[in-house]
Amino acid sequence: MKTVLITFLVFLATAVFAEEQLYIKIGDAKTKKSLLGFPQLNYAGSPALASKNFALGAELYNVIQNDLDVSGYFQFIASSAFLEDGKKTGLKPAPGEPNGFKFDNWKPLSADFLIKGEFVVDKEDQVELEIYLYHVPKAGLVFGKKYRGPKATLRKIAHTFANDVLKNLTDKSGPFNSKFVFSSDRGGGKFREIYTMDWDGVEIEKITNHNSIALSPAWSPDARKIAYTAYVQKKSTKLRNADLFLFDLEKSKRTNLSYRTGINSGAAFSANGNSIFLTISQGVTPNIFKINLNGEIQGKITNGPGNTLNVEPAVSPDGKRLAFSSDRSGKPMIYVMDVDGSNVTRVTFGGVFNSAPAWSPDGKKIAFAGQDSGNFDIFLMDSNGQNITRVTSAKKANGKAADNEDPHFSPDGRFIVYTSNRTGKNQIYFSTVDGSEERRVTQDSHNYYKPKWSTFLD
Amino acid sequence: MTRSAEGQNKGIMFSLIVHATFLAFMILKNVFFDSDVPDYQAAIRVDMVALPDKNPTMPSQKSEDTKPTPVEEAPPAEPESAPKQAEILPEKKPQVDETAIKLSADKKHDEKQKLLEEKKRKEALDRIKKLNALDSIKSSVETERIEKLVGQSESKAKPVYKGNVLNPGTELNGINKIQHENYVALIDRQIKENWTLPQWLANKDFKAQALLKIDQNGNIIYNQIYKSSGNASYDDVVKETIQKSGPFPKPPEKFSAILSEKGVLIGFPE
Repeated sequence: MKTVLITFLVFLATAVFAEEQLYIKIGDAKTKKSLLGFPQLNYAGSPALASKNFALGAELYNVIQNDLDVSGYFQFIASSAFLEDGKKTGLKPAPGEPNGFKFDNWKPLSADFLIKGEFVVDKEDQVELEIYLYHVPKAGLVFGKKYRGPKATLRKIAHTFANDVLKNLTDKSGPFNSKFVFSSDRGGGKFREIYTMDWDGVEIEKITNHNSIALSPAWSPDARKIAYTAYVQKKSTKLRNADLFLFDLEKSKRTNLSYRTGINSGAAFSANGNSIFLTISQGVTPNIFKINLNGEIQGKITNGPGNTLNVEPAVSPDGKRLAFSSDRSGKPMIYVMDVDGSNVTRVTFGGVFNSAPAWSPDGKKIAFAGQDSGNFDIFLMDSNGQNITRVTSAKKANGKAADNEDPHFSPDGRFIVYTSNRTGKNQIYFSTVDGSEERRVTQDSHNYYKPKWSTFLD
Repeated sequence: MTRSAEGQNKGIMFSLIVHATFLAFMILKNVFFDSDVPDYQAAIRVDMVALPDKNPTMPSQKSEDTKPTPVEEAPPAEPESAPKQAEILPEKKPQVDETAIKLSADKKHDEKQKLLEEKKRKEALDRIKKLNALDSIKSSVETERIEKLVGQSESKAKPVYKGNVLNPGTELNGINKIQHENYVALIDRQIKENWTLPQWLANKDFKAQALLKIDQNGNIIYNQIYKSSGNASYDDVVKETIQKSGPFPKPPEKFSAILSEKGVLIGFPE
């Protein structure tokens, strides 16, 4: 189909001659990364303070570089190849600027883009970054901005610039200010608590202190609340029960939303954030229910059949459909239904165990963890189950299959985060949706479960 | 001796008992505890065994797959264009006339057109018949002769009504057609080789059309966006891609008029 299709009409029998236009369909393009020159960020203030603030500049630079590298759009030109000394040249091009840089110093390197920036720490101890993105072949400015904030927001300043680079090139902001929420045993012992973390693995914050097992966290659509499940002791029976909690990040306030006997787990916020879909077993069959933020049941969404499992609801971005997993066919498979529980459609048929569905932000794709030959891998398909592709295939060091599980999309839809036990521990990774550009986020010997990517954060 | 024989007997008895017990156990187990038997029902219920492998071709690697084999490239078009120059040359001049005449002729045009069309259709049909006969013979000498014939019939048609002269290149049949198709394929291949998008423009479903015109020597004389993708960067890459792909080989004579006037519309990607 995508090969050459030459529309080439031969006018033998008709006299409509010559009205037809020769037409060539050239087909899909090859792709390449753009070559980017990114000299170090100079200190713009008093030279005496430059060395004192060197580390700040290095961190700004490293965060920007990592973000742009992760974007998959750029290849960095090695600084050893630079033709001009970044320390001596300014932020603006040469004609008109006494110490301006020259585009002609970047063209021989085949640079597509050039980033020139400098920073200063002002009297109020605020960091200011002035930075410009240039298009080298056109010798033109793409955009330039000043970013200012307290030292504590240094990384955010860098992330925001990287977001703006992507926004200017693609009309779509980068996800570089977003966060993960996940469950982890990193606090030690047998406990698992809920944590948040910047997507690049820093600024880890502990959200819960149940000294118990807390799992299956979910962001509210505005990322101001987190719903999760924790095994806590019931006062009346002294038995541990999997209750659903709501944690308000701004007020640091925790509410026990659903403590019905049995499982209250697998929370997913409705698109408007006013309701939560979750699995409630009430001591019998696990079914999907809808509750409001006061914990009152608004509807029973699934009902069997029989005592089959209906778990892991995932709300489509338009809020109209739910993907979930159910073993009603004998094996756990992914199903999609309307949010009121009607029109249930089975969408996966491959493999023996498919779980953890997650919608892409445009609602066109569903990622899930699928098991076919003993291990789980991440798969991607159209939301109707067509066009399944495998995203992960990494193995353990000994060549044995690793489990890659619990996928979730980045807010820009370009990346999927998941956990993998390829190192022996369940660590957080992400890759682009086609499985390339994979990065390991956590670098320790703890276990991480069910990472969820927040929406864009400012 | 007796002791050891006794011991031997004991040993045999013991062994027999153990074996018999084990056998009994296995029989009983299989008869009464058939839940351990593999669940064939479930095994048969597998809907589709395999999930797909990870696609090894990532976008950044596409380039390797789509590279055309250079072996196929040039040969078809060039050798054949040479012998025909003699007979095609004369047709280029009326081509120039055509544009000038068209303007004044357009009004008279309508009444006579039907008649003309009839006539041409007949002529064309005749030509097809000839060509078909020729094709079956497949002798190059014969082909040339027929082409001459075709050429003659065309030149006869022109005086009849100049304003509606056939664009010489549109009369594509037999070898001409193959030649022209080859030339279009060549343009296609040459542009496709340079058709590379930066990652940040890829997978965005941009679609643009560019109009390319080529002179009789294969040089690009016109390269403009015909239908914009709506994204300036994408449109720029399209134009750059075409510019980089030129100049093209000298087009077949009969074809060059079309290429220089109407040009080729190129869809990126479709």
